[in-house]
Amino acid sequence: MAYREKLAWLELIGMVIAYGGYFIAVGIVDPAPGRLETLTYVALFGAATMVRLLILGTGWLTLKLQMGSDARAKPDERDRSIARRGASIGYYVLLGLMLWVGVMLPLTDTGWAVANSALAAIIIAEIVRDAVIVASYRRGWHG
Amino acid sequence: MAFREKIAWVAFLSTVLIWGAFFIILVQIPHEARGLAMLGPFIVATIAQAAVMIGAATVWAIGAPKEANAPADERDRAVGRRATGFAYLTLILGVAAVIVWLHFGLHGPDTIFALAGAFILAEAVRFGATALGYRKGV
Repeated sequence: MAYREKLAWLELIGMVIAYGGYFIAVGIVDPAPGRLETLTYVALFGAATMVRLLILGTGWLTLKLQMGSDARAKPDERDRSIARRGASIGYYVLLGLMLWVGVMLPLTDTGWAVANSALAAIIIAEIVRDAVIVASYRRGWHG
Repeated sequence: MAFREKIAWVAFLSTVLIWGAFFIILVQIPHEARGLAMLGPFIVATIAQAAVMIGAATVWAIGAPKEANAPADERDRAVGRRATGFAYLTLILGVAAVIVWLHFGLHGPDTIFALAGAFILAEAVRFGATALGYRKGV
């Protein structure tokens, strides 16, 4: 498996574990509205981001040590094309989810309910983007 | 100028002008009256943009039917994907800004308008980046 494909897997796994964990925790904890609610969600989001950075940092360092010159090579035309394809599909996923978050939720919910839904939209779009990149490498997509 | 480049420029300019006017009207209306008061301008802006796009595409397609009917080639797809990548980043930053703003007083219909603003800004970036992509020869 090429370095960039492994990197794509790493990003996908980091995203799913860290922010999947965040939304599981959000579903379990039920802080009282107010200052405590904000502190709880900010702390959980901060912890999830730290977990993600830890996974990315450790994985990146391991890959760098294992793959040497492969890891130092700049992304080629195919890598750029795959990255753009992932972002392009992620964009339309995020647009679709924003229609739900932006049109429906503000009329029925407020504060953190809307914020967490908008956050979930970004995370889902990013997971789709990462998954498209992984699948493109797996299937040998050339643009 | 190629058909797709002309369409991208018209889409960019009409988005900036029509939706720019919509948001200028929006900020002049008091918060509590914005919900229903903006429904009319929203419908007008949507119809105006659709009319401009359909009009421009029709006029140029009559002038150059072969070019208008040609499927997107490799360069068109590359320009489109590159522009969408910029728009994606813009939309993520816009939504993140709205999430932060929600904790500093943003609520109700204003949330809808803020997210609509993020969406329109991202689309303007996509159209602008597409037009520039053709201009600069990506």
